Amino acid sequence: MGYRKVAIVGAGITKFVRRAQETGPEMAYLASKMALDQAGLKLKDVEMITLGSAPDAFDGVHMKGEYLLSGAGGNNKPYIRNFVGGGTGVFAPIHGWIHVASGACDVCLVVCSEKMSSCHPHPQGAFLTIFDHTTEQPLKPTLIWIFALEMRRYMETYGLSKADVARVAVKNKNNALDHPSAQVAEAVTLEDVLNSEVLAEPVNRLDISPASDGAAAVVLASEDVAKRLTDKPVWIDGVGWNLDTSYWATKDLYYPRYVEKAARMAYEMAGITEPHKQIQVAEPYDPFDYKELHHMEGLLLCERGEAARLTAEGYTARSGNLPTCPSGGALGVGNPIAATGLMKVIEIFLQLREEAGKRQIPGKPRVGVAQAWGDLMQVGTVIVLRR
Amino acid sequence: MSFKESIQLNTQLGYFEGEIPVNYQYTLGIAGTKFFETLMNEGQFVASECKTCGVKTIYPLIYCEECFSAIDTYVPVGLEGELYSFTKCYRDYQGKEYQTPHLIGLIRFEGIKGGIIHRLGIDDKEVHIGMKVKAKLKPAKERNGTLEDILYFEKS
Amino acid sequence: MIINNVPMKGLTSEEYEKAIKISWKPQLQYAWDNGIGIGKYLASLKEGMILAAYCQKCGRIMLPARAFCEMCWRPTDRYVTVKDTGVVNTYAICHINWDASRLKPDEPRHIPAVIEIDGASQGQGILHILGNVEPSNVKIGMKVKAVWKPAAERTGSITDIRFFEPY
Repeated sequence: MGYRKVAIVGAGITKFVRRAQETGPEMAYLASKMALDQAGLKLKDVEMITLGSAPDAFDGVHMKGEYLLSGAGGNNKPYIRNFVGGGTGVFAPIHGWIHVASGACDVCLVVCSEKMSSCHPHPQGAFLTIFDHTTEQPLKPTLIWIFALEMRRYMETYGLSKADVARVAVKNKNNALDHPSAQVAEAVTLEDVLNSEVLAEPVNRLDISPASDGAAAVVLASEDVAKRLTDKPVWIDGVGWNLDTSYWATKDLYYPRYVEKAARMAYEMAGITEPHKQIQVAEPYDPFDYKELHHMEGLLLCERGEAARLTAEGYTARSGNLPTCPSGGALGVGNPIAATGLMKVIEIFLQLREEAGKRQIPGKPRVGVAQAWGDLMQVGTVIVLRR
Repeated sequence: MSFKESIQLNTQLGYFEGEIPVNYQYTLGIAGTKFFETLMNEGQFVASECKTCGVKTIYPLIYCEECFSAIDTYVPVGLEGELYSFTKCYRDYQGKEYQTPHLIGLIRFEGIKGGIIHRLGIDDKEVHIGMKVKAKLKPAKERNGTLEDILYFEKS
Repeated sequence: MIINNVPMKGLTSEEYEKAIKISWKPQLQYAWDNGIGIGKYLASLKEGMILAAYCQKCGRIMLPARAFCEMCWRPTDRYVTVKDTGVVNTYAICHINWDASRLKPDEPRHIPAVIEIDGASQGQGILHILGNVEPSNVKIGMKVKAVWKPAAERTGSITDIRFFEPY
């Protein structure tokens, strides 16, 4: 379609922590520097930079793009912040892909940094204005309402139990034990999740990923540059993004139509016609355990309503036919919003290069997909990688 | 229909009020902690120094903005600098009039990138760009590692 | 290259307590205008009615009332009063406040629900809360009816409906 080939040639990531000692720009620097070092590049080799970061209200810094600029290496370069809420972490490399695929540049640095620990009494408060100020906020909603409502509708539609959903949390938190960035890796059991505090039925505490500070970065390069830099480029084969209606209460809460549309866009670009057969590893966005199931279905990795059964059967374990969130996901590694999405892209990058260490899935995977989700439960961002 | 409608009486204009009810606790970060702890404990400024390209920066950074090398070298700068620019302010950020106008300056330090913005304790008949100024600090035991440890910059 | 070590260690609670911190409470207050479509919706609530908007292109009767159909991307054609009854599409039983603080054991739980309103197109739900019902008795598919504030107390707000209750 006239796009140039684009590869990921380097990745960097910090530990995800409850409270970082570092400032946002310092975190952005640590991840960016690591990515450039891995790619064998200096900042002067970087032509353009795109920065992904979630709402300003988390860090409490208005115009966070400008705030994070120098840490992301953006001084005096074409630099721009991209933003689609929780979907930002996967949109950021898509945005970088646009820069390189279009021919605007050969080397683009993609940086995501998030410092949520500055926000008190709880980052949830920064989300309240996500509800319509006139027709919803007067009801005094809490953020968790919408997730609990969506989770219940999903469970009801397919007759799922709490345990069916909680197995995702068990899998991911245990997977995260092998991730060096993990904030909350725990060897939790199904009983632990089911017996954890009930926050908003049907959501328990361990169904949710924790708020974190963290940063991640990747370096994108055009074909010529990528082949010069590495003998293991990982190609961005397809990208897609899509937003559903902002009248969230009027859509089908049991199925993420927007994720399917984003996935179809990415798959078409990547020439994928049978995703469940052609994709060997997936990182669906999992800020809540039910969301991984939701997103597996939206990504067309299984039939609707089948994701929970496949999870219970071990199909999505690292040793299974289609491992999902081998990184440990947001549930296990932590959830510094935009950095989480990029962490997922990095995980697919590492898995395809067979550099995931203890997390490596068997079978020399060739194609993987990463996805993020956000805004008012309405955006899907999807990226397909191939080695 | 809808876009052809208009509201004819301003008393029919309705609105809802609200706020984002959060507050913030910012920590200073690695380089920021170094700067403000040194100010508090030793009564002087420090700049970061890039060992690769030699650039020194105030406020200090853990990375070089020029060459992106990591930095963990901090050099003392003293308290004296030069007035790079200044402004005379009559109202605070909420538009309230000051009892006496405030002089605010950007102070730079020889051989160092960046600078410090602070109040000037200088008669406004004397103030001029390029004049030498020096930070007047709070007494050591009253300092708490914030910008308020500097009372103002005065003529040196 | 396998990534085994990553930078940043995080502050322990003790280190955080000791760290120098700058506090800021932003003073940001907003007044959000009702606008055209929602203005009508609210005026209608004050009269004790729920107002939807009709798009003759897609045939949807949409809630809340709006000035344009976001699917067909054209102005809506007229307003339609729908019923004040509906069906619970989904609900939650919330034990926490917006700041993640916990409700006390004796405080009533909040029961937010998406309610598909009768008379609007299928799936046209609104967010509201359920009342006069034990949390354990709430079911998806349950029929509910608006409980309105007395006319004199209504202000043209979504809270002119106190809650929805089973009927």
